[in-house]
Parts: sequence; C-alpha cells; structure tokens
Amino acid sequence: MTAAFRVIKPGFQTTVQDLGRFGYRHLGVPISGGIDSFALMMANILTGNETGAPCLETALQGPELYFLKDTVIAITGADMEPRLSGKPIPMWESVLCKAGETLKLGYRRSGCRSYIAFAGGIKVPEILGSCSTFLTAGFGGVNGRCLQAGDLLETCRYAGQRGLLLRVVPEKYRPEYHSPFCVRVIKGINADNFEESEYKKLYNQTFTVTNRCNRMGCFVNGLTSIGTNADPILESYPVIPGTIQVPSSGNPIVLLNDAQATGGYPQIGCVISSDIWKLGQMIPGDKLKFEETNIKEALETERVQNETLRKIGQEYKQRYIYHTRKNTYEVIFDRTIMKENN
Amino acid sequence: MKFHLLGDCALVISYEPCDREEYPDIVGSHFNYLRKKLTYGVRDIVLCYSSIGIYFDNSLIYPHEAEACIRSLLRQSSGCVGMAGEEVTIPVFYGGEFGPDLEKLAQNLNMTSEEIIHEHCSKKYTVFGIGFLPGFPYMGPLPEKLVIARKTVPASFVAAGSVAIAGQHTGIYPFDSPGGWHVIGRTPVKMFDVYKPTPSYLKPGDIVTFSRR
Repeated sequence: MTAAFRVIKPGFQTTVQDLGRFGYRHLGVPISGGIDSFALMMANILTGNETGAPCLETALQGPELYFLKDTVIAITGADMEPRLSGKPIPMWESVLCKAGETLKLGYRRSGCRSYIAFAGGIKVPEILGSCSTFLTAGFGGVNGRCLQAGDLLETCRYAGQRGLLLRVVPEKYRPEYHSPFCVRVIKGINADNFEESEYKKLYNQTFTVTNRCNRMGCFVNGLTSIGTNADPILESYPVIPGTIQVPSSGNPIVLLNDAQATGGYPQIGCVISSDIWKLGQMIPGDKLKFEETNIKEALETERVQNETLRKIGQEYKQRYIYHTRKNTYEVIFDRTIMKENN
Repeated sequence: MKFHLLGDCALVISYEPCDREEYPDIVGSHFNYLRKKLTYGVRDIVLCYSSIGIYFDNSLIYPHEAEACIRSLLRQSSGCVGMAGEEVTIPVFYGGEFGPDLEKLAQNLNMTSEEIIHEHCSKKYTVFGIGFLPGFPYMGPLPEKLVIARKTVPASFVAAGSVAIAGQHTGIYPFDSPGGWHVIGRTPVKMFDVYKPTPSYLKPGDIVTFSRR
C-alpha cells in the first residue's frame, strides 16, 4: 500500500485524532481526541467517513503536505488560509487533491485548531481502542508524537470518490471563532467550598487566556482572583474535560481532552460538553466568559448540535455512524435521497 | 454516600471521610461491583481515594436516571468483595537531582531530609486508585508528619519516575508532565507500558513499600 501523502512541514502541533479513547480512564488514561469534535465530525462527513474516523488536528500554524495519490480531503475548524498548489481552496467543503499537488496551511487567522479529514481516514494503529495521539505519555497516532517532516501517512481504502465532491457544510452551520468566547457552565462538585461572593467572581468578570494553554488544559487569569475555603489538602476527585479547577493562586484552570481523570484542586464548575469545542479554538490573549447554566439546557444544546450533524450527514445519504462524540451506537440512515434541507 | 453531577455526562459518588483505613474496602467493593454491573451507555468508571466517578453517554443515560439506577444497584452489592492486591517493593533514589523538592520540604515540615526519607520508607501504602496520568498510583495514607498541601502553582515540569507527596498521598509520575506534588525521589520502574496486556504497573488494592537505593 502506498502512502497518501508526505509531510513537508509539520506545522506547530499536528497530531492524529479521532473522537477519543474510552474505557481506560480508571488507569489514568485520558480520552484525548479532537478538542473541537464538531469540526472533526463535519470534516469526516464531508469526506464520506464515519464521523469518528482519524483526522489531522493542527494548532496555530498548519502543515504542508505533498500528495502521492489522488485523495479527497476536507478542512474545517480554524481558518489557516489553505492553499492547494498555491491556489486558495475553500474550507468546510470536500476538495480533491491530485497526486503531485501540495496542500499548504498557514498561520491561523481565526480560531486555533483546524481539522483535515481524508477520504477513508488516516491509517494508524489503534492503541487501547483509539487512534488519538496522547503526547504526554507518547502513544497513539504516529508513534505517540506530532507529525514530523518526512512522515509518510496512509489512508484506509475508500470504495470510490464518486459522490464525495461538492459536499458543503451550509454557511449557517459553520461556527465562528471570535474572542470573547462564551461558554456555559454547570455548578462544580466542590462549589460549596466557595463563598457566595467568591463563587460569583467566576461569572461576573472576563478572563484572559494565558500562555499555559495546551491540549491538557488552559490557565486563565481574571482581574480578581477567586478565593476558596477548601481544605488545601482536599482529596482528589474525578474530573472531565471542561472541569474548572481553582488552585490556591485563585486563577481558574479549565481542563481539556488530554487532562487526567482525577484532580485535586477544588472544582468550581464544569463547561458543558457541547461548548468544549470553543475552548479548543482559543489562543493566548483571547477573552473568555463563563455563563451559568443547568443540566437541562446542557442536554438540549447537545441535542441540537447532534441534530445538525445528523442533518448534514443525512443530506449526503451516507452510512453515518452516530457518535455523539463517542463509540456507542450506530444509526444507519435511509438511503433515499433527501430532496430538501432547510 | 453522596451523588454529585460532574458536568453533563458524569456522576461522582463521594463517601464520608470516616476511617481512612476503611476506604479500600467500601469504595473498592462498590467500584468492583459497578464495573461488573454497569455496561449500557457507561464509558468509564474511575476509582478515586474516597470517591467513584461514573462517565456515561448522556444521549443514552440521563443523569437523574443514572443516579437512581446506581443507588438501587449498590443496595444489592452487600457481600461483594473489595480488591485483592499484591505486595510490591519499589526502589527509590531520594534527594539531590532526583528529589528537587526534598530540602525545601524539610524546611516547611521542620524535619531533616533524612527524617523525611526514613518516614516515607517506613510504611506500607495501599494503592487507592490510578489517575492523573496513565499508571499514576494514588497511595496512602501517608504518615501524619508528612502531610502537606500541594504546591500553590503546579510545576510545569516533573520528570518521569518522580516519587512525590501531597496531602494524605504519595504517588509516582509515570511520564514527564506538569505536576503539583512535592518531588522527593525517583524510581527507574516503568509505571505504564501501553504494549503490555496490563499496561499499568500497579492496580488499586496493591500494597506498596519503598526501598531506598
């Protein structure tokens, strides 16, 4: 099997990601996976893949790839002004890259992370049930590391490229990545460890994203720090991506996909699942606001988001694996052509 | 036993801090029981020192349903066994470049470095859970004299193999990573190997002693 493309320049941090690794958190293995899972799933739909097929996730500065065979791709997420052999190509659309052509992504113009999906999906070994790269422990993806110049990557066999072209995500479904970002938050399990006045500081000020911002988590600073009356020897509790911890410095840490399964700083809140993607599109210096919400609203927004994915998947009448960002159950849609999408 | 919502797709069961030595039995047996019984829609079950995290797919299980289901399951769990662990000895090089926080810790605890090392080696620790990083064991309880709060700001680099303490716990960093615990030594033991059938070197319930090298 010949490789689909060669990496000429790897970009700032380009890794293979799918929807994550589940079932090993009791061994301290984080879920990893694309942080902006909505963009990742859309890119896969555009290239005829299962929504959770392995893609490239690239941050800040995109890669340069040389195609060795004809491949249909789609780029979603942050705008890195992609060019194919020098000519600008659209995002949120399927594009044919011919053998001998070079795809080049530049520096991000908005957002932080772009997703590049390839028809068939990137072929890397599954480690503990997922192809996602976990950099800290060095496994998954391409030998547990970021892409490097000279890497040759294969894609899985795809039955045919007919019907893959001219796939587009309608404008109204494309998210915008602008500072200030506003994410909705559910009360944290240690919320009782904050005085009412301190607790409110999470919601009535704007935070700034600091330089300590990566796939594990994001340190943000407010004008006033948040005090806690938690025992400094507080026990560790389970956490999830989105958990907002407040260490004694008083500046919150928002955990992301590569974060641990347990953590010891008091948890003031937790960003809802359907807003995590925004956290993946922030860069240092961006502004972040938290907005209090409840479980009911959280489930409703997630339902709406899944509905959008379903609608677009349906339009292309493809066999669409319904992931709700994970590998749980499968819905195979009717093959009849959808005449109208609203 | 209290239930807390963790975001929109997980629940935490926390147990009253009664007798610390009792934890592995109660929490551990519940953990084992839930791991066997809960399957549909559940993605992960995580054991912490005195709590259990249950992560599920919220399109299949609504949080309020999960709580009721788990409560009724646990009512039937009496007589279920806790964890059977093995005794493991872990070699440690204390202090110097391997334990960069040891001297400062000695000042803060009003002890000498030697006393800290002696105290740390003198006990058998139970592995209460694996977390923070792949293969990172939460072990304890630590001797009263060594109990100290985490660092106010986590260090941005802790070397793989670092043996550290914080709160009631001692732990080992399996990989280079950021960390908020006080590092007192280092072990050459590989704590996590993804290519082994059991990737984690330690498991909940194991009894660990440290031997000075």
